[in-house]
Amino acid sequence: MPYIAGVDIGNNSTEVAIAEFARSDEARIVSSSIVKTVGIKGTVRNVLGVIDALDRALSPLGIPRKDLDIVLLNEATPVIGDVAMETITETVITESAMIGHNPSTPGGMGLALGTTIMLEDMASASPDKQWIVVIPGSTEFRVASEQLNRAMSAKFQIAGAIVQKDDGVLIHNRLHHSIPIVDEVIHIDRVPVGMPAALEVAVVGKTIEKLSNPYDIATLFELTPEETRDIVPIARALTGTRSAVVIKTPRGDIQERRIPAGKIKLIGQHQKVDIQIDEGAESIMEQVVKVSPLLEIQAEPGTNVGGMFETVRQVMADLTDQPVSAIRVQDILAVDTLVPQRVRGSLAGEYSLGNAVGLAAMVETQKLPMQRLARKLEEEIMVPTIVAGVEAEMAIRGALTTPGTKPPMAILDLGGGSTDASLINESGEIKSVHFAGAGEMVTLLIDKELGLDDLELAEKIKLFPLAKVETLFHMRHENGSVQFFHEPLDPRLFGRVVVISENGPIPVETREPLAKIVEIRQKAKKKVFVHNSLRALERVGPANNIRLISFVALVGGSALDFEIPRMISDSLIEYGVVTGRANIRGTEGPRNAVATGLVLAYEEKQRN
Amino acid sequence: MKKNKEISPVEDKLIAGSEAKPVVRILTTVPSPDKAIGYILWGLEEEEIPVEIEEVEEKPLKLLAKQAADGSKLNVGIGISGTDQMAVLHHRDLPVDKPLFSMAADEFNMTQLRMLGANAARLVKGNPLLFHSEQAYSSAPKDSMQLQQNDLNDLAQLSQYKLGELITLLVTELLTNIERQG
Repeated sequence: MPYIAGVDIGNNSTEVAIAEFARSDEARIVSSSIVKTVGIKGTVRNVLGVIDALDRALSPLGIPRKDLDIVLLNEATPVIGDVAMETITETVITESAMIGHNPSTPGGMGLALGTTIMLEDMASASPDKQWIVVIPGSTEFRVASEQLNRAMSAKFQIAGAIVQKDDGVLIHNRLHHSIPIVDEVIHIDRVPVGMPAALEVAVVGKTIEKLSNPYDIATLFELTPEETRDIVPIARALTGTRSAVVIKTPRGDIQERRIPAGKIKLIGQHQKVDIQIDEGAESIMEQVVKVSPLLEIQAEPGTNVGGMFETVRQVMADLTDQPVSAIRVQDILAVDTLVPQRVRGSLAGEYSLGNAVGLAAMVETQKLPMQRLARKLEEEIMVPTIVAGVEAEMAIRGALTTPGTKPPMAILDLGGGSTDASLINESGEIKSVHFAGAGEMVTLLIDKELGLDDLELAEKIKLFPLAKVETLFHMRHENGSVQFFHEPLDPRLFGRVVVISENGPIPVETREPLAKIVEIRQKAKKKVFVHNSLRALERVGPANNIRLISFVALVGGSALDFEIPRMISDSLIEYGVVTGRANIRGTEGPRNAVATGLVLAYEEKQRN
Repeated sequence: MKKNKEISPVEDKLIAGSEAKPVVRILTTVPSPDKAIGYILWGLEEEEIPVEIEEVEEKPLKLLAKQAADGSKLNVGIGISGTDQMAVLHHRDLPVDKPLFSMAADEFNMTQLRMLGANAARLVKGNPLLFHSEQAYSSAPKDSMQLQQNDLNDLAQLSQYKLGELITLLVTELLTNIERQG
């Protein structure tokens, strides 16, 4: 009995389907496998992964490699993508003028207004003024509270205190009169003295009310309308914190600066448009739609986007032995995001949310050097190897083995670098498109929005649900269910939000509550995959109309995600489309579509 | 925000009724290391969790800590010995020989003891625990790390500026030399 193998080399994984094949009979797929792709797809390094995948699929059948009749390779889609982020705004404080943060335990509560003064200078202070006392870390809390008490009984008016160490409660508990105290101010030496200041501490469970409102700040400091306008970034940065200090310095000029983020040039078939990235994702994508069909996108050199464009083009040029100048970026996806940024000139390590635009770019070339790869594989395994079919066509053929589907059907291939869509109509014609932005973009957005600076952790947050470790013996999962353990959990996980990865829980070192991380994760997935699915289906749909597509099957790595398929299905339900994860041959789930398609197409050709 | 109850003197211990109150319990061997206990109390006080201290007779410290945790309504206890210069933080649900933290004699200092107290309180509150002494003063480890990064950047900028100056100096020197030779 002859055996044939279909091999699909993708960006991330290499998949194999093995079929038993007799000319008189239908091909029967008897085994399949999946391994990680070795090297960039389309390069000869892939051979290693292919051999591994073949061996894995063959071993349960007990057939040696050389008994294969033929190996069928896919004509891999020559598409690669990359992602980058451009920051648009940041808050810069030129004169140190605000503290706003969430120390775990500030002291006292309420609002205080006074002039800043060092604790050691209290003795020579004027008794007629209200003071905000600055206490450096070198002063022990017992000494500090004693001196404050002495000053208060000597009729000095002390309204509040700013403390460097985590001593707020300790000092407060030793005072004869309660005052609000902001502690854990790391850069206490940068607090200007002799300046009017307002200090606010909220009770547990609440956030400050006055110093996060520009009009209240204006009231406290008697600001002019112009000055009030300037204070807005401060009020915004202080929103949601439990304690805050605002200090009015003479030149205390705080500004929201717009960083020139460079521009991109969209070149369409009929028109060209220049657009500044700082106009935001919405207007960029509006222009993309207007200019489409796009021929090329160029980015300004010297910017993050320019650098990213160069990288993708270079990779593709190396891959295909073409000059870089011949490689063009053909699609972009822009996404608006809010990125936490350190406030420049801050006193306690505060951050504020800056606007940023995430960009994914994609290049497509004529053909990857698959023939070269086929020859190399043939040499290695001594089995005839041919390039047998175009990826998109094979994928849809494979996807049609999903029970309950028939043409006209579309597939959405949710990958790492690009989102691809193909449609097959009743007469068997296939149309496909590729769009920039997929799994890697989601990872980037999660990393930036949480300020993790750790792509590996961001990837895990994307892939796995979260939980909160509530005691040494149990955690509460994000869906509310509680899991108990017989052995105590690692104390480093205690009280933390963790990602339930395949290797056990990993702590997420952020102060964001679980719900916020879930929100960021889900938004990132929606912004990339739902948006891209809609624009891709619109393009391949009959008369560019999604409503005319009856079935949509999801394939590719991100189709295995625990929430992306539901999000896409939720958004497609209003178009009356049946949407679901593909189930190749009724057994494989969204995997193995291309490999299966290759085998089926070969069989059909042989029979005719 | 209520002030913490003053810690009653050791003689004034509640004997029978102590289990009724939600407190972290500290059991100490005699003579009690008052200074060390004081540091632990500061850690608990800053986190606003009440505590009770009791003197007991000498026994293995893990056992002492476990006994303290078992007797605490908050399930958290500390055992401390001045003679051995050691302290152990325990939880009611943990087995005797597996305490949460066991502090060695070389860690028996103000920072570490205060952190032990803070961690006892955080264990009660369900807040992430502290592991590095620098965290004891800043509960935002990430911030301080970024800060260092920033400071480094400042340094880099500074040296870049200095480098420019240096280059200018060098070039001037070279030019003068050439002039002299010429």
